[in-house]
Amino acid sequence: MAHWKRRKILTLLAGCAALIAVLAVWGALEGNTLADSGFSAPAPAQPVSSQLTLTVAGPDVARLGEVVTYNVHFTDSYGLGIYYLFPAHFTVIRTDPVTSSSSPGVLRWASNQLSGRNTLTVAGQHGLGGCSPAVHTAGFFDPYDSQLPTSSKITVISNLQCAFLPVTLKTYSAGR
Amino acid sequence: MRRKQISLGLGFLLPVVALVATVALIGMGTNYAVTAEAPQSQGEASPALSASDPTTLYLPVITNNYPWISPFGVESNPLLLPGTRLYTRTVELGIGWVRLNGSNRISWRLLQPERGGSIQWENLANFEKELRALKAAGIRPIVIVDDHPLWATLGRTGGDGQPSYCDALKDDAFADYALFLRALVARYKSPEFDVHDWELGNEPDVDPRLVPSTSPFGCWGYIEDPYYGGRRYGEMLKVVAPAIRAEDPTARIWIGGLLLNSPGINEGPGKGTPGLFFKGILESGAAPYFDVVAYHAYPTYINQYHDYDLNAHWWTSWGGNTLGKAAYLRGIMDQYGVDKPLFLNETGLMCPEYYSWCTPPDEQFFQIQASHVVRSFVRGISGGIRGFVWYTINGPGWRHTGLLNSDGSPKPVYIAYQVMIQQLQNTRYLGTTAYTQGTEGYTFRRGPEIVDVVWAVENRMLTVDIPQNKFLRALTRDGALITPPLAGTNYRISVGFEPVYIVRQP
Repeated sequence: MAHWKRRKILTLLAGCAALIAVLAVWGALEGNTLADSGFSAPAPAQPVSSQLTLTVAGPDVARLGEVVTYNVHFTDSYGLGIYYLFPAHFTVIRTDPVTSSSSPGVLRWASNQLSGRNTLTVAGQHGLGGCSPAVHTAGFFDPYDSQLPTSSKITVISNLQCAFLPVTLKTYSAGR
Repeated sequence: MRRKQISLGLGFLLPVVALVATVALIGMGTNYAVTAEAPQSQGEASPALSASDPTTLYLPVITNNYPWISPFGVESNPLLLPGTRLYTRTVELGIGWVRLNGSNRISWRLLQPERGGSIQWENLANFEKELRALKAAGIRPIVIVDDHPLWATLGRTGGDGQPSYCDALKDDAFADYALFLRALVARYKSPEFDVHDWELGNEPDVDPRLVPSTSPFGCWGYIEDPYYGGRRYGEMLKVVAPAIRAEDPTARIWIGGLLLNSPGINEGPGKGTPGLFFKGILESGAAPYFDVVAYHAYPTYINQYHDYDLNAHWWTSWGGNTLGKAAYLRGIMDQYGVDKPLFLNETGLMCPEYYSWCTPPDEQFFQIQASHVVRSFVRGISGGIRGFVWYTINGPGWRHTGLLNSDGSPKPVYIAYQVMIQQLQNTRYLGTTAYTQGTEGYTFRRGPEIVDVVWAVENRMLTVDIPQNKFLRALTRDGALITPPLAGTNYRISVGFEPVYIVRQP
């Protein structure tokens, strides 16, 4: 094989590898961004005089691996459930009350688990996985009403360094 | 002379009897054929024509929108038993349908707790009284079959962590479900009960994790599935529908009324795409195994005077709750070459208690609710929706949706619904009506009369003019006669957010 041919193939392979790496990084970042952003739907217009109030309290800054606690304060659930969205790189250690209803990135408490309470607690650790600040969101849920209040808490991960590597791509043409 | 009188009498009576018999057959939902037995002389068999050779005659019948099948209905949480105020109010409303759900009715879990065990029909004595009473009132029941025994489910838990009774059925329980349904159909297809509409589940497009384990709605939904669990529901239909139809060929199988929260969009993490549940049913190839597509709509009152049917969050851009959801479902059916009737079989304008203006709701809510039932249902008729069920008749009802107060007295919405049913009785929808700009109107025909239902789109007063020589009468939303002033050669009628009925000559 001619030397120039081998070099072109190597360049092609390098380009492909770089492209895959870039796509992987982009996909990971995008995935985290989506996971952190809560709903993909347009933000609903919430009625102003709802008796439902809910806030998420937690640290403004946390370190990787540090056990942190988030509290959801609410006035009354009026028979509704509450969901809690957490970032993909957050590992839940415990919740109070305990809940068995979950999907990836989501915890839920049914209305009968909330009666007599005004606070929910979620404890866990942030890990590697995303560059953007961690967003924790809680909201009431009801299958019949998509416009219920939500609340979010943003936590900056202080010892997280994200480096963006410059990648140069060279197009390869098979033509002569 | 006497013989001639008799002959004339028979000549008049026979066509009438034939007509009555034919109309009766139409009313029973059978085909239009009349089978005539060949006459036989006493004690002598005809060699050419025996009793085993029936002759079918087809009699031409012309009817004028008769029998009119009311598209309107209600759901009741308590049993509708004769002698109760609730039953009387239901009958007085003039509806054609009642939707029957709840563990006081058909609960598979309670009726057949053991797999393969006998069905405990004795638990249904009161339900059967209800069916007889509805039949006596000429009201068709839509019977929901839900509440699954745990031995038949996938074993998923509800939001409270307990095993879910509304969970989807596992594959090897489809046959058990078919046997159970066949037994129900066999028992209730008889003229004594006359049940021919079977709805399989209630709002199946909900994941069990989103509702309590004892939820009366859900839960074939599966958040992580691209079709939100609809394909499993479709596979179930393919097994049970043949069993139902084998027992009662006139049975209509209804898809469990879809909650249909959003139009096929991903609602976000932990919510999935419930709007694709129906598509999943069709994707499974189950289209031949159901007859009616039912869906639900529950707009939320937010203390503003606007049209809650059209201002419908996810559905606004689709045309609102009633027509927008129908357009979405029809769009999915088009993709699969399917055309099934649509029925809005649970709806109501709700006022949830977590809003300050709903504890309790003020008069404005009840007035808007009363206008809402007319505006949304008439609009629905214009869109070819086959029927409408208001949830509920009993009051005050879930989130103040009841047509009645807790003491059984009528709310404004009951009166408005009753008047609409009276005004649209025996009518046929013709089309929209263009009156004054800013009004919305729909035209119906009843014999020689035209009935227009008209309202102002926004909450403001407008006027419409009707030529004096065409005007017959006009009524308010609540049935009061309007005495309109003359403006030249026209009667001038005020129209606001509340619909009015204008009856005129064509």
